[in-house]
Amino acid sequence: MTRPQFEIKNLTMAYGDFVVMRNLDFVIPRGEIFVIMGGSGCGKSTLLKHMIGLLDPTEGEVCFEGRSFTAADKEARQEMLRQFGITFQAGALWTSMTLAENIALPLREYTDLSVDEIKEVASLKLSLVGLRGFEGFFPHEISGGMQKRASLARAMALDPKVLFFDEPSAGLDPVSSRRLDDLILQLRDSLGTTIIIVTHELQSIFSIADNSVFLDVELRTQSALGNPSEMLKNPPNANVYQFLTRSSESVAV
Amino acid sequence: MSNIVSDNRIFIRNGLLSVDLAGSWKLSDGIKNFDDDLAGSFPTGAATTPAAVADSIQTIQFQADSLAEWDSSLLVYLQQIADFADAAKIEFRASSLPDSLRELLMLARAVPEVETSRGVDKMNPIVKIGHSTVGLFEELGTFVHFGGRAMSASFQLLIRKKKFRWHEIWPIIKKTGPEALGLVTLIAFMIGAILAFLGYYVLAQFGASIYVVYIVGYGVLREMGPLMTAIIIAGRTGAAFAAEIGSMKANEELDAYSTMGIDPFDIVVMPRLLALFFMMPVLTIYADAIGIFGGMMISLLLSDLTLELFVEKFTTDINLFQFGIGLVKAVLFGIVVGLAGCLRGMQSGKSADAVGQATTSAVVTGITLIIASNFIIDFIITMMGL
Ligand SMILES: Nc1ncnc2c1ncn2[C@@H]1O[C@H](COP(=O)(O)OP(=O)(O)OP(=O)(O)O)[C@@H](O)[C@H]1O
Ligand SMILES: [Mg+2]
Repeated sequence: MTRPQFEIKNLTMAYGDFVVMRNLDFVIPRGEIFVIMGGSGCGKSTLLKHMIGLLDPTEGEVCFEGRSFTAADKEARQEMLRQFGITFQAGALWTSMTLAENIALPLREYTDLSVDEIKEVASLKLSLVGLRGFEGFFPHEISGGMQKRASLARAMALDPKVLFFDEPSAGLDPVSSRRLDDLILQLRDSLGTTIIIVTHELQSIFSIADNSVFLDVELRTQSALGNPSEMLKNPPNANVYQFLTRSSESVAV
Repeated sequence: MSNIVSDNRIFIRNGLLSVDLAGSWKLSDGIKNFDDDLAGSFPTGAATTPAAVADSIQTIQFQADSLAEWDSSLLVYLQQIADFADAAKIEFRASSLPDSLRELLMLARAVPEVETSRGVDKMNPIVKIGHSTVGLFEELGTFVHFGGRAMSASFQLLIRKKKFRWHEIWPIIKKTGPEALGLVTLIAFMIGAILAFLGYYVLAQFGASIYVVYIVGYGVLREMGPLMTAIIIAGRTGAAFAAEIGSMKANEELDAYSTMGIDPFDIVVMPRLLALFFMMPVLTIYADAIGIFGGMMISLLLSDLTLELFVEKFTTDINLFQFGIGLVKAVLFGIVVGLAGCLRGMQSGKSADAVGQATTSAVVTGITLIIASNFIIDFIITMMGL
């Protein structure tokens, strides 16, 4: 078929001298729901930031549709970024703007839609995440879970090809978290969006992931790659098994 | 029943409104408007409000056989139709839509679950004063670099290579200007008065107390007006800039801008700098007026000056040039305060603690640089004999 959406090639990530992960190698096909999993602090958010070009690899490269992110100049990067929608772990809604304005900003920047049309798109995006009627609220006026969903609505503003979520369901109650999973599946099924999720919610992992990579904090590299349910059936190593079964035996924390 | 066939995608026959979704629907082509389409399928001038058509139409259904690629623009259009159907109490036949489209639409129209909103107050870091200024000069380089970026961005604004973001600037102007007026009034009045006290005390010893008018005039216009305004703004606005930007950084809001291809410098720093660039001269003119008024009150009270004499001496001997020097300083101080606040905010770490430190440091940097640049300007104009 066509080229994979993402190729991670022999990626090593570090903050200064501190190596977070090394030798990461995997591909993410178009239209896949791909989960990045691993214990807290293992480098999931860091990996995400490498995939969207906020951080540069120490070694190796990240390719988007066959083009290297790392080698791309500023303009090419911006063009690739425009096809991404990103929700950050901290939400990252612009606090000085209402929810509608948050969603309107990318539309104002990158489309020629009129003010009224932008308003309509913003309302539509908010209603997709169950926030119909909250257009005029400021981020601090809504709950944490609602902020998560609003930031998802903003990420979807430009109908991106790829959606990134950093811990979308952290801090959500089980029902909302379930709804979010449904929405993610829905987006993939109806729009063919490739979705890359950082999460350690087992329930989400098993119910939505097509494929996943497990970052092992002890080995400082990926120690498993594949469908999580398959991994559970045939655990490639003890750490993955412990993670997927929530077992705490012999886990040194 | 009427049989109206339109030239567009809406057909009405026997109470059935059928919408043909043929073609491709892309946001980049704009969004179609259902009301217009509907109006187009009725004779010109006929009312097409939901109430008006409710009698002649019972059902809305869709024809999606030749639907090509689509995105949110189609969903928005369908939302309009669904809202219209709700308002007119017409049946909306969602089953005639393709599955994926129908499901997304249903999702969008699902009533949101009830959720109580949680008030999260934004952290308001307390301004800690008295932080050491060690290392300030080492950072002069960073500061100059930051200033250089601002200059090149301003240049790009001037030649229209960048958008002028009034949308972002205006709220900041409102926050820096009017809200600072109370404090500026109070301080400027007292500074004018203090200059008059000092002038009277010194000049009276030489029997020249009426010359206090010059101390007040020159003192306020050339020095204290811009200086005190800048210090107030450094404490209020510079600190606020650092705190705002710092917490935006902690909240990954700046990353969110970057990943949308918007340089945080353009959308976060530049509007703040421009707001101060516009507001500082205005505030300074106001402070000048209040300061001179304060100085005049004390002068009249202490010395033999009469109001007429004060005004006469002031207007004949103190020229607009003095006022001009003050304004130039005001603009410069505004830029300095803005740069200090924004730079400290951008340098801030991601924790609440780091944001607090950034705030303190913005004030210290701001005030130090204001006074240093005031010194340099005075030195230069004195050497030039102005
Ligand atoms: N800006 C930074 N500078 C230096 N080290 C960092 C920085 N950000 C993260 N780290 C370190 O890198 C490691 C990975 O961090 P990261 O945020 O990617 O973890 P994570 O897997 O997303 O964790 P969590 O599940 O808690 O979100 C951690 O040890 C962290 O201390
Ligand atoms: Mg993380």
